[in-house]
Amino acid sequence: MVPIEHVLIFNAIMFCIGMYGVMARRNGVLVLMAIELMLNAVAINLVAFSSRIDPVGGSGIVFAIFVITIAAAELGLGLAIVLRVYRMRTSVNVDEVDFMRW
Amino acid sequence: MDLAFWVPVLCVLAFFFNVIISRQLGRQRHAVAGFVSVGVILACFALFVTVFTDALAHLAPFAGGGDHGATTSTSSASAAFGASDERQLLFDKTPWFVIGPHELWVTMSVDWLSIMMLGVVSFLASLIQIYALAYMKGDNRYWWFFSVMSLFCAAMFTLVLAYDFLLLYMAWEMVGLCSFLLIGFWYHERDNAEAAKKAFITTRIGDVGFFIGIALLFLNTGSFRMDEVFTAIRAGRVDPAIVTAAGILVFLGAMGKSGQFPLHVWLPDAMAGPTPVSALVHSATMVAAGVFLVGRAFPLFEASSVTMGFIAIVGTFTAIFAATIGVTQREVKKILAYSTVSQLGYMIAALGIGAYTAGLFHLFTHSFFKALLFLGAGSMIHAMEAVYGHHDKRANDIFNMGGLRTRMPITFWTFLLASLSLAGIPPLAGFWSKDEILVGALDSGNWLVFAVLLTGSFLTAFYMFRLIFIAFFGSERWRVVAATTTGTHEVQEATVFHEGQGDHVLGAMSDPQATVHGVHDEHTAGNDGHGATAGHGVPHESPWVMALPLALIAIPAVAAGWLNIPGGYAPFGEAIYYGEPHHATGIHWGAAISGTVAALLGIGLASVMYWRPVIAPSAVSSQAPGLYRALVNKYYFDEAYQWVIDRIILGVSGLAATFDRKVINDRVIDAPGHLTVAAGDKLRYLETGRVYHYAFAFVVGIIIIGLVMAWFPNIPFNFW
Amino acid sequence: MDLGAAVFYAVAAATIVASLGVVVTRSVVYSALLLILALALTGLVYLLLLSDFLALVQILVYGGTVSILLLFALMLTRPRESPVLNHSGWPLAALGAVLTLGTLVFAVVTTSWGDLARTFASSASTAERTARSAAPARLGPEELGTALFTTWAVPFEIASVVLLVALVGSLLVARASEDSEAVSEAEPLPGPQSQAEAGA
Repeated sequence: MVPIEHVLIFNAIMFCIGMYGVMARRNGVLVLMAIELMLNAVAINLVAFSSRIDPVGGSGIVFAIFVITIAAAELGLGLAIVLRVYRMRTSVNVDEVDFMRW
Repeated sequence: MDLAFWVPVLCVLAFFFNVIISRQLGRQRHAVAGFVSVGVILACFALFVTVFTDALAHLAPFAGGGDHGATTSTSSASAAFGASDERQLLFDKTPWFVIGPHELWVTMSVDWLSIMMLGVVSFLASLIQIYALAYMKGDNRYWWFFSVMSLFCAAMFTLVLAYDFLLLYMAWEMVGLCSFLLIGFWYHERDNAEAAKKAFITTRIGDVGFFIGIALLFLNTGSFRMDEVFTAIRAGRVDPAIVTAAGILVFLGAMGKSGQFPLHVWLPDAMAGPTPVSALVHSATMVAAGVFLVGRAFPLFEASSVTMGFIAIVGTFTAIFAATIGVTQREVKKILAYSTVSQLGYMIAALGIGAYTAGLFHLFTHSFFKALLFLGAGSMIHAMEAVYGHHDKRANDIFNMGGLRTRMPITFWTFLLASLSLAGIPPLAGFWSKDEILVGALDSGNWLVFAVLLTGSFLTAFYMFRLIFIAFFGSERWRVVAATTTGTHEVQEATVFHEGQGDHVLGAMSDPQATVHGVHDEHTAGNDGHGATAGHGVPHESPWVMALPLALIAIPAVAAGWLNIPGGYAPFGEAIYYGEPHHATGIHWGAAISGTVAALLGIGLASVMYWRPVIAPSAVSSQAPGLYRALVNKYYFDEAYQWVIDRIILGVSGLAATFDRKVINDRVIDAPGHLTVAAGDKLRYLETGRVYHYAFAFVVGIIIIGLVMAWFPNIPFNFW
Repeated sequence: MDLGAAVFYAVAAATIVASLGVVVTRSVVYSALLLILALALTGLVYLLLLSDFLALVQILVYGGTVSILLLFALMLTRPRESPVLNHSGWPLAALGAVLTLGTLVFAVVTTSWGDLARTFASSASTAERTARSAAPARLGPEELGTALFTTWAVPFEIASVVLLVALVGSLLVARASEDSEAVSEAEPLPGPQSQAEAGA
């Protein structure tokens, strides 16, 4: 099979792409999408380790399930907030959501 | 004799009573304060009499043997102690407070020196306060005047009774404070406040030296008590250099208080205070405190010939220096002030050359006739204020007086007696004391001192009689000048004496009587309504409340000298001496005759220049115009001191102030504030409110942590 | 290289391309669609890693719900004018991402991954461990379910609470005060009477 380093590097690339997305995108929804990418990278990482370390118990898989669950919950809440902000400002531009600044 | 302690205490109580209670009494407060103060001081005098009689019974050398130990007036015992060997110590060994291993006591000593001073101060203070009852009438701070007078008396009594340096210094400072308060009594006039400040600051300079001296003595002998200090010095336990240094420093205090050169500048200005103050404080008591200190601490000075020489030089120089200035002054009180400085110089010089009894005897007699002179001057000024109005400076000028002899007989005769005494005409008091100083100078071989002091006697007689002839004799110039108050300079060309180039008030003329009448007629024709614009009358004799003290003080002014007739009745010399009593065998004719001759020459010259003007004063002064100007301007000392203050002291202060403002305030105190604000201004960029900025911060943190963890693989980053 | 590895590399490359597309494209819709693609490919990766249950879950949850949610959100939050989708500071962000990537890669490469089984060993015997590392097993839904309800019961419960909280929370946050007014002010639906009148 594939040596584990390759899987990890693949995950790292996906994670960093997601991170770039968080930092660089202006639309709030797109930021949330990038966060989903990051979480997915993490989940793959967990599953990869699980297949090597604990193939019997599958603890990594369970962990990944939890990650997906929480990611979904967080996405729901995040979108709710984005909608709220949109209603206030008619814009989801994160540049303009700087109410708590100096 | 233990009652002596009550003398200062009563005065302090009077002060507090006046300040706390009398003040609240409304309109009555002046009368109450006056009565309380005078009553207390009379009680102090009564106490003095008690103490005196008791001391006569118990203190050597008048008691037979005494019951305070074995000391009698034998030379060995007196050599052990100095001054009169017998004293009564009060509060001996009762600790006042304790600092570490040192116990500090307040010790008072009742001995002949302090008894003498007690007597002088209480006698003069009583009579002067009675005098002031009338003199200060009408002043709306009358009550405060008497309160501070009581406080002053308290301080003075403490000073003379003190037998440890700390108590003496405390009383010294308090006397200075009361002097300041009294000189600046009419502080609403700027000049008076300035004079008070000047007095305080100048004496302060001396006081600093005094305190350093006391500290030196304490460090080297371990005690403030005088007997312990003197024993230590005499036993040689103190390094001679320290003894000299301490002596000179302590003498600096005496120089400040007694107005010796160069700290003399405050005394003439102190005449801005009310005349009773000048009489009591600045002629007889406070300024004598310096001389008293030299007498009290004589073992300290005597132990070093350098100090003694210094004292003698300062005293002699001051004596002649002040006399030369006094010759040219115009104001009554200023003439008397310079005379005081000069006479104090005599006393200090006498002490400096070792004539202990002579110096203190002159202190004794001088108090009386100087106080009398000042009271007389007050009387004259009071009379002149009837012509010129209150607080008019022209009331002080002798050239505005004249012919007062017939109008104020009591004042005139007492003043004359006091002046004769001051000049040293036998058989008045001043003669005996001055003579004894001259004898002391001769005996110790100081020919230069003798010559200088003799010249001083000549000048003293001259300026005193100049004053008398101008003020009491001659035409009544005050009529003329009062009539021409609104006139121009030309119109004021109306009178007798033209002294020197600086004299711009009065013009010259030859025949006093005719011109006065002429001018007077001319001006009654011309200035009808302006007879005496500011004043309202003619000078008159003072009320009996003021005249009685004059008469009473005249008695000791004349007779005090008879307490120390050499070769005859001399109880003063028996009681107050240093080392051994000075048993003179008889009158030293050389000194006596030369002294009297000098005085007579002075009187003669004055009469020739001012009574029947044969020699015009302007002729004399024009011989040496530069010298004349220097004398009139008091040798420009005030200007010199002012320059030092302005340039040097204020310059340094300016530097310190600038340092404080620029460096300490701006850099140290304000700068952290600015720094905080500037830092905050930069730090606010951390809180932009933009999520992606925060995300970036996360990323940076992750990178750093990751790198750290990767670089140090062996460190277990376990956080659980 | 065997077939499995080749497939894996291909899928991985595709996923990476898709994710790059998510963060780079100028159109939000393309971004969303590419995200769906990336997530689906991730499911494929799970499959390759021999956890088919998880692959199913992934496709169901992400491909089914998350993508719909995102599309709805994009629809509801249409900006007024067509925006620029990237910040002005995106080079810095790229730099940060690259640095992070570098750090992670460095960490991965410098660690010796030789014996994973031995490093994180349980108390199983050596034979079991070698057996484990030799032949990767398959995990089906039964085993996962058992594990979920026995070993991982507490996290499971907590996760359900979290979901509940998220549900209630998003309802609360997304509901605006105008909505309730709008509801009350809305006209009632036309009843049969008006229809009859309209008809007659």
